[in-house]
Amino acid sequence: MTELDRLLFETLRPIPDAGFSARVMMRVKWQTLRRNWTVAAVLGLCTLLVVFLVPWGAVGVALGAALPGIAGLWAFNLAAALVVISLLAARELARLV
Amino acid sequence: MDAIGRLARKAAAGDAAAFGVLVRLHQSRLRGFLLRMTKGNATLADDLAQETFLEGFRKISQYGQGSFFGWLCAIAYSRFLMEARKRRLEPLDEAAEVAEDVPEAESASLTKIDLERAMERLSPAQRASLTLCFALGMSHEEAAAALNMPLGTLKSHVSRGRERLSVLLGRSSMVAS
Repeated sequence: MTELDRLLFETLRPIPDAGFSARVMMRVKWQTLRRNWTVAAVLGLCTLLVVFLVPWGAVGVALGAALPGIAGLWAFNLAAALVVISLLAARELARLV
Repeated sequence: MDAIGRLARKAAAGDAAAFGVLVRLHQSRLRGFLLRMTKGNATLADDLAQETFLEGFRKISQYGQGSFFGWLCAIAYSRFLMEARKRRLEPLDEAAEVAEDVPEAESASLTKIDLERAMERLSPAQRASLTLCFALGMSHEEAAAALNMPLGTLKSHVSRGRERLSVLLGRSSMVAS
């Protein structure tokens, strides 16, 4: 082995942690928190939009034509719409974050 | 699956503590690699290392088989190249290698300082290839994967980098083997 190889093979000087890992983990936790809050906020917003903007009466009428048995149950309509919107929002968010 | 693989799997499932162990285990070598890549700029090297770990955490579910450290090095090297382009730290292609000579080593035997000084004159690809294959003990295959280059290209970087180091250090006999 040549002198150059000997030097090249010497491992890199160890670098003491000195709080580096703690700083990284703080940023990791902050990033996780921010992502969770973003997801929660967007889902909440979607839910509010569904509750207040969807024309439930018209939905009931349309469902009444298609499924006469359950169309009158407004709770069913609401739950179904919330599930659909939440799933769509979650899928979009998963792509974004 | 080895211990590192298990920790990576836990981290992918959202276990931040497991990722913390991975950070502590790899920080020294990753920062050492980046310190050499940034020619001793400790602040920039640490910034890049932090960004590497953050990106690693975001993409941990994409880590499959193979060396976890190699996977981190791939992220680190690509971040370094982006930063070098942005800041115009140095020419990135081999054709633009720094041409001037380094003063010959003063003492009879070579020291690490001489080597570090000469390393700074290599292209980033040569510097990274030599560091991963020698100082960090990766196989050529692992290093090629980490630097996202074909195996032949990596071998050429190692060979040319080694030759150039010997010229820069003024001892042509050093690469006789």
